[in-house]
Amino acid sequence: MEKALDIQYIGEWLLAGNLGHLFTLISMVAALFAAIGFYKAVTTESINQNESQSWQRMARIGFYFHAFSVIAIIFILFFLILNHRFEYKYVWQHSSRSLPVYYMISCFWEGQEGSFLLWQFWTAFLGLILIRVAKTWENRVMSVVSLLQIFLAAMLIGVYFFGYKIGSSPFVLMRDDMINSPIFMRANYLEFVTDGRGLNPLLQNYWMVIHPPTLFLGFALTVVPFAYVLAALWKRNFDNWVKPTLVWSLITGGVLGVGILMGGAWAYEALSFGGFWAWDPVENASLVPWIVLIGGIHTLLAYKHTGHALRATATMLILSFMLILYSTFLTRSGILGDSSVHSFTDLGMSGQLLVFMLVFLFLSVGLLVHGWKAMPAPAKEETTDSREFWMFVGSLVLLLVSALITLDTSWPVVNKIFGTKITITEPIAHYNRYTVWFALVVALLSATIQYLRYKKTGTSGLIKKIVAPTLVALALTMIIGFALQITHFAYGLLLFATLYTICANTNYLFAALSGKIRVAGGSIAHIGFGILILGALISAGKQEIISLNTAGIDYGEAFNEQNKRENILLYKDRPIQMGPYWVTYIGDSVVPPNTLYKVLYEKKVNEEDKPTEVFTLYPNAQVNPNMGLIANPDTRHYLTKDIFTHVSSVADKSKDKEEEQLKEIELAPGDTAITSGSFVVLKSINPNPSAVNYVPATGDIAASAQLEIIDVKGKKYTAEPIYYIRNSTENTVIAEVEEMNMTIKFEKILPEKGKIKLAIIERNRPVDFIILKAIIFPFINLLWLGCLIMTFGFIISVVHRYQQGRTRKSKSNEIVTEISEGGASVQPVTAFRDKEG
Amino acid sequence: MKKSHIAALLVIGALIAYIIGTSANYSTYESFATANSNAGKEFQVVGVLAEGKEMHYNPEEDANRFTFYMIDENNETRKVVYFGAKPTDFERSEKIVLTGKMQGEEFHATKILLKCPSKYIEDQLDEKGYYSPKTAASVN
Repeated sequence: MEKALDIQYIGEWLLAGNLGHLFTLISMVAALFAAIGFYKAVTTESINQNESQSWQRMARIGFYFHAFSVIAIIFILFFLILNHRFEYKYVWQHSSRSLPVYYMISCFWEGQEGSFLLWQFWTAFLGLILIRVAKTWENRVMSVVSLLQIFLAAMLIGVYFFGYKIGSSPFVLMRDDMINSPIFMRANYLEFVTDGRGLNPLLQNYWMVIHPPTLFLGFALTVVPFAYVLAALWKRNFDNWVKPTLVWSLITGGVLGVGILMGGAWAYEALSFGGFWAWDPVENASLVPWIVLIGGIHTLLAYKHTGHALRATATMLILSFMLILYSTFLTRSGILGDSSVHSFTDLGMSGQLLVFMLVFLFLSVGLLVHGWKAMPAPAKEETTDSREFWMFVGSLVLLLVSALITLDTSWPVVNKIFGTKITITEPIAHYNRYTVWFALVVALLSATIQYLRYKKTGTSGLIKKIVAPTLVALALTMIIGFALQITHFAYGLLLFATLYTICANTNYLFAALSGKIRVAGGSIAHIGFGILILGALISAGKQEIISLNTAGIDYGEAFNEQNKRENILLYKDRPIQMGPYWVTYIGDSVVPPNTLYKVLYEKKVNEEDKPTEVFTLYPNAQVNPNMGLIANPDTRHYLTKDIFTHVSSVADKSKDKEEEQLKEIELAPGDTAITSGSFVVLKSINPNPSAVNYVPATGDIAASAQLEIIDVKGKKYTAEPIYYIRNSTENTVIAEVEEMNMTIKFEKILPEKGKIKLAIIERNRPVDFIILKAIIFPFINLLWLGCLIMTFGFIISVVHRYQQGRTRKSKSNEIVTEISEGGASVQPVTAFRDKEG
Repeated sequence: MKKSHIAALLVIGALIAYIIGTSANYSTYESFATANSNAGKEFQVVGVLAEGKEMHYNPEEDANRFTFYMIDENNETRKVVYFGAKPTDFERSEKIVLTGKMQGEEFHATKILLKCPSKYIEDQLDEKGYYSPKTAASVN
């Protein structure tokens, strides 16, 4: 490296990178400054109001600087990507010249640095909002948010500190990173580095433009409820705390939920594993915090109305954020190496990530201990027929399933610590086996609990109210279960549970809430959840692989179970029956960088029938120099089902060289010769030949062989090679049989034998084929519909909870009544712990 | 903790115990030797492709059968039969994780997980400025 230091490199744009690096440092220092400022503003609050206010002002300015720096970093990085400055490693690693501009934004989340940047950006954005809206909570909440920003900023600085590298800067130069590459001995190396390695083709999908920002907004949002909990614990006072916490938790739940499901949509559209959820550790790591958060929202509601379950709420909201940090650790420390296909590259930051996680863990536990006693917990136990009791149980169920999923996701960590080698062989089957039961319990509870009332209720009314929806659900279960032939016991039960939650919640929406949408966010979200699970159950449980290779070779019984033969070979232009379709591979076409394989589907019973429906799918594959062949599925969408198709393998045409076979034969008129793939019959010899490429001339001695060629299927072709002597030299005009890839040459006339001599060249045409897998997913649209409805429910709840506070503000000292969660009746809300505004 | 809560926890705990107890999907990363002495039981075996040994996939014969040789972490080489299409970037894999069981002398895999080298090695550029991962160089 010493040698390289003296080189004056040509053509590098160093200013932008230096500026970017400077901003990463500023962003961290500014976050530190803001954190200290907000902290001091809190500690001086009770002593000196003026001092506190000036600390707050300074802290705000610090945070503004921080936010500005983050935005500046993003702009500089984007500027470098846009201008293809491949001297920067991040740009070289994640982009290329051929990348369309709209995918350039995806470069931000392919690499670790960019995704930390995205997270930091959203948190900064939320911080700016919190400064405006958090009022009395601002100093405490922002202390926590600023602390988070210090750690996130530290991920990007890439500075050595006592010999330990902190963070990884996106502005590192190639020549500093790859010091062993000889090319950097040249001052003009940039003339050689003409293109970047490019974006992973799997990320070149429209879902990948919107899924990561949404998910990271969800990730970033989890810090807000967390910060509110810590703030209240720190203050040891939960007055005026419920409303902002509830509104922020609901926003978080909605955004994170959508972000996760968008990931599922991307996986379904772009990945070829065939489904929307694979229980991959990376997926689990984002799902679990969401489930815990949902539990926290429900206990928070219970607390709001009854004063119970505050401690559970605080614990769950803290846990939700801690699990986000844990998931960050899992996916970015490289620990998942063997068990996940899509975790990030290890940048050697696991130590730093661990510190990050432990600091927040100690802080949370410390503050929980500090504020535990300050959390009001009514001495009187909840009655077992009250709404709050069952909400608590429901949250507990959510917490337990989260614990189980976390445990199963954490085996690589366990293995690392204890040196064990535990693994899960069939993850999808494994997780499904128990999550089915939890989904069942949650579905039943989410409907039934709605009919219970806060505080004391009698159960007599309950039975009467849920009889109708239960009966409807039972009838529907029978019909759907029979129609779809759901024979699996647990799936049958889950089918009932989801139908029950849909029916009972719908009934509640109309009967109890009289269709008042404004207050029905919860019911609508529950209906959405029910439909979502129903869609997942049917589409995954009753998916049908139609590309079963029935013509395969029989290996005997031992293999039958394993050998599912899910892939089928399709020769070009040769139709094959798959389920209700006849499927033909028509050919391929190249639309750089993809190769599209045109596959024709015809719905018909027999091959000769006229198809009742015809459509074409274009599953494509991209040959990527770094990743080999990457298959992208293509899916035909119907209202009630999807037909999902992807290529698992394709013929390597470059390898398949044409093999030639030459055969020389002597034939008399009427004779038949046998070649490797056909019969050749010499019908007659024509003494006056004429052809496009043979014009008779005077003095020519000419003859042509009138041939009939019959292939193995009995199909007949004709050919007429010509032989002639002109100016005492022999000439021939060869004949081609295109269909059979055959060339025939009339070589000689053998008058003494009464025969002619032919040379027949047969070539094996390179076989063109694809290996295809096709799956029918029935009713997968229910899944997406459920997702939309659930999101709609969250939005209604957010609006409702937000307005609730505002209307209350306007009539501040009145006793407020509300209808929202009161069940069928209007219920006065005791404001004893809920002094909003 | 209240009585009712404890009861609820107990019920749920019992449920979990039942689920985990009946769960058959837990296994361990093992070698061919272990898989061999527990024929019929499913394991995950980690290893690398045995270069130079025969690798066979002829989709025209059977699109769902792919055979190759793998060297496990104890340096034992076994023939592996995988019932599916050959993964497209197979030769480039740096590490292979198989799920399956021994059947006679062969390991019958139902699942293959590949580790691609590009993610796990130090990046390098060659003299002409082309990307040249280290493993690719060591293969030659």
